[in-house]
Amino acid sequence: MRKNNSSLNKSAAFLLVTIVAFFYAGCSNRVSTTNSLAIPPAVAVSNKNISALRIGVLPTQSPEEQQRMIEPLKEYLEESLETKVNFRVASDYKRIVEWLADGEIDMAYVAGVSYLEALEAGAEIEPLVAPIDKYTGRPWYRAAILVKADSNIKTLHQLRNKRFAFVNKSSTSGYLMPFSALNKLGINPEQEFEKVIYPGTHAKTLEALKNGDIDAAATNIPYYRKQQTMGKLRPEEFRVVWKSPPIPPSLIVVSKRLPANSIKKLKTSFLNTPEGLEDIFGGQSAGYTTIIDADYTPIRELRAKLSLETEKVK
Amino acid sequence: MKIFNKFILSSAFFAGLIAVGLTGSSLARNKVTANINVKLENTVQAIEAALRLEIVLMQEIDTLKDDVLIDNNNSDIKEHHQEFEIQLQKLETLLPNAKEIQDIRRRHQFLVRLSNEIRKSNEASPNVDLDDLKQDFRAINSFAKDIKLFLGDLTDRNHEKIIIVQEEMDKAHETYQRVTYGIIIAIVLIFISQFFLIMLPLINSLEKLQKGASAIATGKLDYRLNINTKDELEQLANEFNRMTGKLTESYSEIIERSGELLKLNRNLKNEISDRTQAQAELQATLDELKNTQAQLIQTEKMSSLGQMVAGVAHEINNPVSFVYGNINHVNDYVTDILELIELYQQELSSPGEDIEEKLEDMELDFVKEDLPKILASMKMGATRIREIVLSLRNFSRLDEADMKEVDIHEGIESTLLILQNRLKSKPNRTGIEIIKNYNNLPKIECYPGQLNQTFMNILSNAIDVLEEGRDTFGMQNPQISINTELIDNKKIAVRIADNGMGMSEEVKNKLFDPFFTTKPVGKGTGLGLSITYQIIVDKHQGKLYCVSEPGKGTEFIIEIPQHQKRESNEVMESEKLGVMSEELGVMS
Repeated sequence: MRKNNSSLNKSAAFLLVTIVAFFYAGCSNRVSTTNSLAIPPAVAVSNKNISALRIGVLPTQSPEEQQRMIEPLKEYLEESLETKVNFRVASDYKRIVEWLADGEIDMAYVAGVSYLEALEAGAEIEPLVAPIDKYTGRPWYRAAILVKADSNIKTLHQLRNKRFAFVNKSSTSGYLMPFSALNKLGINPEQEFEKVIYPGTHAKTLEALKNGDIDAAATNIPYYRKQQTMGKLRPEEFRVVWKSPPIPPSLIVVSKRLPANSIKKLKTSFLNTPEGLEDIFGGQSAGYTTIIDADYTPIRELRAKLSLETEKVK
Repeated sequence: MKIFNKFILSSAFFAGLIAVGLTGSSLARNKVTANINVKLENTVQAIEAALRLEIVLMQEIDTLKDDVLIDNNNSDIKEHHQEFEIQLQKLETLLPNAKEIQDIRRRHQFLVRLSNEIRKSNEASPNVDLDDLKQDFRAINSFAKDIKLFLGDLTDRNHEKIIIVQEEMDKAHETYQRVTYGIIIAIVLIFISQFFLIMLPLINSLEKLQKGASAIATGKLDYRLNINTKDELEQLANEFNRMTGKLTESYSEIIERSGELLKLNRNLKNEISDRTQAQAELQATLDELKNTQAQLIQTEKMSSLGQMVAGVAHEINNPVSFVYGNINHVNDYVTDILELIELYQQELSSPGEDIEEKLEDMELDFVKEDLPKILASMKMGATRIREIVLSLRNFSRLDEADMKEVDIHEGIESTLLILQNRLKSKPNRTGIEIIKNYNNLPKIECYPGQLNQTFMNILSNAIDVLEEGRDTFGMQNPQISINTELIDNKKIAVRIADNGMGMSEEVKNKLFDPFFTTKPVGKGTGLGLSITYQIIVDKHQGKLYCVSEPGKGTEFIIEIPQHQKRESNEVMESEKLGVMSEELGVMS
């Protein structure tokens, strides 16, 4: 009996040892394999999106039209970014710049000048993408000065003592480029033109020209073409007197405060924009393309020169 | 289930599990690994293709920029476009589902379009504005950047894919390992469960069986095993229980039978002891009877003998008294008559013839001379008769039934006197010499008559032996020696020894048995020594030894305490008169 018990204990102990050995072997094996197949830390791609993307939009066209153009874009962005997108339509250029500077919006559709102004105002932003012009196939466009088809104005010099409309002073194509071109020719619009008005938008500017309130108007080619395509303007009604050299396009800026991957995602989304999605700037875009700060150097230089001259004049 | 089946089933299950587990996991692992390898290769190729595409793009862009700068319309930009497209298609075949391919293609279309525009504008106006040129450069850069962005995305995704694939591989490996561990654990669990489900119950059952066996061994026959394992052991246990049952039955039967046997045995023993007791009682009764008979005979003898002896003694005593008493007178008278005759002779000096004749005839002188002698002799005879009578009376001691303090020597002497006749030498035989060696003895408290009887018995036996020796074997010097001594001032010892033929051991053993005798029928009763023994041992708390060897004589040693204990006195009542030597009877 006693002997039996002891033998039983012995066998039980043996079994236990075997089990422990098994487990130990298993564990050590596991440890070694894990060591040999050490997985490099996965490149974590944070899918964390911004809670809601706030996009500021310039008031290029009439509010209803803008809303009509915003809607499909919003849908597209919300779908591809998988986040809510809020569009805020600013009352004017200045407001956008303020918002950007105050960090009230994450992204904005701005003109090149507005971008530079916002930078000057201390906004932490960077260029994201710019639309590609449908007609030129390039991201840049040209400013233009239009006159009525039956006008006798053929050169810029003939604009002296005529009524003239710039879009507004923040507009690159509607003010900066034509103004600098006139300036280059030694024409000072404020002094030498009979009348200079700033209707505020390209549409109003062209409206003024159409109505005959003015003799010539500053605008840009893409807008003009679009108006023609849309049938709002008849091609034979106006004539291009002057075309500027290519200017960096209006662009989409994005706050640097957004996470890097969000910015990248945004950029990809815009680059992937399907054809036919209307350019919110009013131009006819063939899509978007990458743009960098250096692309705006010409405008920067131009502005610098103009401000210097303005100061000189003053 | 049976242990065998259990083992077979669990082992089969075990083997099957291991086989399925190992094969399955190994197969799955191989499949997964192959799959992963294909994926990995594909991805690596895709990355390579993407890199190649980028290189092609760079070349294309460089060419395009050259075109912009030097208005070279004969450049191989178209070949580059085609090359790009070919590479892109390759990439597309590698990554059919990558949406970036379409994006890149679209982007590239911008580039192609741009290159076409540039070519067109080059053809239209060879002198390009510097600003336009710059813008074209920028546009090219932008488009290139777009494409590179997508390519980068593609490459990144592929890199990620590689990582994912590697992770998958790791996961597969881990799964395989887990499965392996699972199998190991399963093996261990099966081992454990085999141990616990098969071995342990087996061991338990065996222990139970062992306990049961030892319980049975220690006699607990009502022990029953309770094993419900539904296997061989249960069968064994059932067999065991059946066996135990049978055993119990047999055992109880045996117990019953042995009980009966024991009872019988006890009865037998009881019977035997009863019989033994009865036998002993019978023997005792017989002995008692014998004693009683002996005593009765003795008593009868003694009553008659004693009465006779006493009567004879008494009757003899009276006439002897006459003789003895008158002898002196007769002597006086005779003396007187003789003196008268003297006087007559002196005065009548010559008497008549008749007187002379008478005198002559009578021999008066002789008569004168002889008559006193006769009278003296008669007196002596009478005296002796008186002494004999006295001895007889003394011997029978009819008047002395109580314990008395007597001189032993006196008893011995009176006995010897009675036996005088047998001791004396006769003309045809030599006498028996008595050698007395008496020491100083105090008076002994005893029944003198009975003690005298013992002396008589021993002495007469000795005389018988010596006479037999003398008569039969011509023994020359028959002797009886009598020694007395005091031992330790407490008891006396009387040794009576003869120089006869002695006796054999056989005879010696039966010596004191009643009715045992070596004498011819009619001569002895066989009671003498028996009575002697009774008297010495029973009545006087003494001891009686016999030392004898054939041819060397016999010695009887009587030891009697000096003082008797009182209680033994009453026993003797019945033998007041009775105990008397048969020899005495024979003799008288």
